Amino acid sequence: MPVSPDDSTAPALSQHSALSTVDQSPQGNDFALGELFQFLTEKDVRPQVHAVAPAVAPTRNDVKSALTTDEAGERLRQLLLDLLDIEAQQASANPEDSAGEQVWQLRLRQLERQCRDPRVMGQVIFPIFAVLLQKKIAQSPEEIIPALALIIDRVIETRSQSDRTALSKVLATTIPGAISKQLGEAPNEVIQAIAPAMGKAITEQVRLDRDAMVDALYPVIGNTISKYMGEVVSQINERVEKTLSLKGIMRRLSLRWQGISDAEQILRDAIPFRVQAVFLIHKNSGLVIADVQQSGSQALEADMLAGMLTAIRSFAAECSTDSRHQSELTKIDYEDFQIIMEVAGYCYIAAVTQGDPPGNFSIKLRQTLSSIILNHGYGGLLEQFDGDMRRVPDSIPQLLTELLVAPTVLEKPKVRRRSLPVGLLVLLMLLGIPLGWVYYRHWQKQQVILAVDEAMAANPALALYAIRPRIQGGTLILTGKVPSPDLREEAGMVALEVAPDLVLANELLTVVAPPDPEAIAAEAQRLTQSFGQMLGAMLTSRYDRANQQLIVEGGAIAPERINPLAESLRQIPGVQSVLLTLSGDPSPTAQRLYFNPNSTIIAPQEQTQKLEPLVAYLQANPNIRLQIIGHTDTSGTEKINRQLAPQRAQVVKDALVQLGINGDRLMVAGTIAPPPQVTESDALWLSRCVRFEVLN
Amino acid sequence: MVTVSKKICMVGDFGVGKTSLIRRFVEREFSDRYLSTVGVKISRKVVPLPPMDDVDELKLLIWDLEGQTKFKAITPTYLQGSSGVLIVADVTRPETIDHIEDHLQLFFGVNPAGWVAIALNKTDLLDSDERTHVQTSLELNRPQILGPYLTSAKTGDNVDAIFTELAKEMLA
Ligand SMILES: Nc1nc2c(ncn2[C@@H]2O[C@H](COP(=O)(O)OP(=O)(O)OP(=O)(O)O)[C@@H](O)[C@H]2O)c(=O)[nH]1
Ligand SMILES: [Mg+2]
Repeated sequence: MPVSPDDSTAPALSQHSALSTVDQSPQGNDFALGELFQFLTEKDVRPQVHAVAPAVAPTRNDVKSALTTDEAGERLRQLLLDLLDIEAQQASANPEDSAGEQVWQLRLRQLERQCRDPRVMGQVIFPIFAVLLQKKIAQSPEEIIPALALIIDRVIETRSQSDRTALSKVLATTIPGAISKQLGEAPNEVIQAIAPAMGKAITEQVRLDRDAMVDALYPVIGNTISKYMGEVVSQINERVEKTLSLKGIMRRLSLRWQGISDAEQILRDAIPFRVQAVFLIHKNSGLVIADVQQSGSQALEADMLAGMLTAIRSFAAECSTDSRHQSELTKIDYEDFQIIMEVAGYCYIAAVTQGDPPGNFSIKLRQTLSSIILNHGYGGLLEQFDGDMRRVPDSIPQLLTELLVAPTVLEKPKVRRRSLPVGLLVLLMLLGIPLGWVYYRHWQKQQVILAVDEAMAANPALALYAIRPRIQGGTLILTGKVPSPDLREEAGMVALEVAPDLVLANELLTVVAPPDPEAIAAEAQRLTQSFGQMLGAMLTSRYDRANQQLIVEGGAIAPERINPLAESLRQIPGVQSVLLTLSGDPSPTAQRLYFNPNSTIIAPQEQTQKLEPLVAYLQANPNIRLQIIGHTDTSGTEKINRQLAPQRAQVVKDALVQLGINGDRLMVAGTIAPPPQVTESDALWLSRCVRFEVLN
Repeated sequence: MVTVSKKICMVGDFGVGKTSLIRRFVEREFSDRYLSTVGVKISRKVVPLPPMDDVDELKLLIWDLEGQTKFKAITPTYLQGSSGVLIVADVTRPETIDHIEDHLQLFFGVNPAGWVAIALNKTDLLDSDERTHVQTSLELNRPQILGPYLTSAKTGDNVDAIFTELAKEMLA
């Protein structure tokens, strides 16, 4: 590949600096954290908050129900009367005089009356209420509790309305203790209660003091976070770049000017993703440690490419103005190709790809590089690589080959489930921060998205289009564009199969793209038939839509003569492969001789390729007699055609006789109907022929 | 078949003949036209090795760097991972010979264990007296330094020799 710094380092070179670690690119991560948490909280948390609330406290409506209030009032009144009784008894225990006793009695009765008027009673009791209550509580708490229980929530509510701070102050001292006690006794309950609000809480905390949050978490899950963040940020960048970049807009505009529709553009963009070659390159020297390439395609000059890439990377690093961030060149666009790089300490992987890389390709790249480093990096092999290929173990090219063969199939998520999130969960629980599950949830979603991605990629009809799954709450949302409603439905079904627990929101847009199956089939048929005309053979093609395959059928033609057809058929957008099913060894009697319009002259190639073999065949089989049938196309008048048809047969008979065949063995006939297997809709030349039928 | 790859760099002032030396060595050609190199150009040459070696052939990846001027320092990152360097000067321009020392320091700064070969190029432009004078006036008695070789990209004098000697030392 002729990459030279003169032309590829300048504007053509697109550089994505790696926003990968938390402390290096604060803005990016801020954005990402916010987005992530918002994503977590938006849909799935709010409904649960409502769902949990009733279990914690009865709502106002319950408290205010008339029945309960009356009952409570009655009970309270009883209680107070009891209290007063006690007071009375104590007072009367003082034996002073009976007159005093009468006054007491009177007062008591008065009081009793007043007791029925709550307002009066309130006034009376208020000053001593606290004392009374204390006494009663000391005496028989069990009685107080049910009475108070009925109104306690109301009390708190009222109090909190009138003086929130005071109440907060009182409660503040007890709540942490209460929670930690409850955590010990029934941890699940607490977690369930807090969980729904967790995401929101974190969002808020991030908003208030992001740095503190990051600092608190970094020692434990720094790497994990930064990886997630990097991913999210790059996804966002990508999206923003694609939709908003000046380049993108210009591209759209220019396409409009050129008269290419959006729909066509989608197809162009949707070149199936393919990895052409993968190189493991020593970072400093640019020497190739290992390289694997697709067989069949033209091999890339690994050494030169690796050298140039390394030089370009050095150049880019040198040019990056900000010395604090060590920016890495991770992608180079070159004509139809993209070179995607994943960089580690001493080496980097460069994958030469075509088509839009699916999101999980970068993950796969990273997995591959990680396993290379884990398996071979520590012995110094990578660091001290000195160009000696004997030291490179076979397992390295083997790992790279995986990227060629299955560029998007990730290692089984199950393995990771055990190793990563549960470990995280445990750690975080130990720390008393039940944050783990937030990440776990995010991680789970990510897994589902990956699985959907993979399923789409595995479906031949869908793999072509950029279908983006995303999860919000319990809903799986598909966005993107496909060329037909059928495909839209199919995508929905594929997604549901992978994630049956989720509700599907199929937001795929159907854009009618020009190469619909009919158009492809028609185009292919045109091409095939005109090609057949060139070769003087009848060829037809069918389009197998499910496999995006064109099937070409017809008489025997040498591979080197038919290959150009296969090549040009493959160029038709929407055609994945071409299958040639040409009949093996045709009998010379099965051949048809084709004529120019209105002509009865046998073309020279028809003479040499068809008539001469036929003569040889007839001479070898002296018992065979032939019916020679002339046909015409439907153009021209019927009268002329009726003459033309037998004339063509006669011309062929004469030719055969001249070549030494006895005329008695040859019968002549003509018809204006098309020959068998040719219909009105086929090309006209197919009907302008002479064919043979073997008699007896 | 055992192949070992090595990276070497061409370093020297502009116009001394770095690109011409590579062209002579790899393509066996020479041109009088001067096309100044921009950035880096990489060439490859497979050098067969004598049969007694356990390595059959050496694949040299030669990085041709753009010439240095007073204003444009060479990028040390390009020198990274380079097992050897060929420092080139132009015998008709004394200042280019004076700069050899700077290039040496730069290279050893990046690769202390690397090998250096020094080419005093364009010797076809000198007569034989001048040649002896150039050779004696340079003192480079340090380990890991080969030469100086009196080369000519134009006639091919010492061109193969300087590359193969450097290659041999890098493999040893
Ligand atoms: N007579 C003569 N001319 C030479 C020789 N080597 C190079 N030249 C000429 O010197 C000029 C510069 O040669 P280059 O090889 O381009 O020099 P360079 O060191 O690559 O220059 P930069 O890329 O600018 O650093 C050209 O015109 C060459 O023809 C030589 O051995 N003899
Ligand atoms: Mg040059």
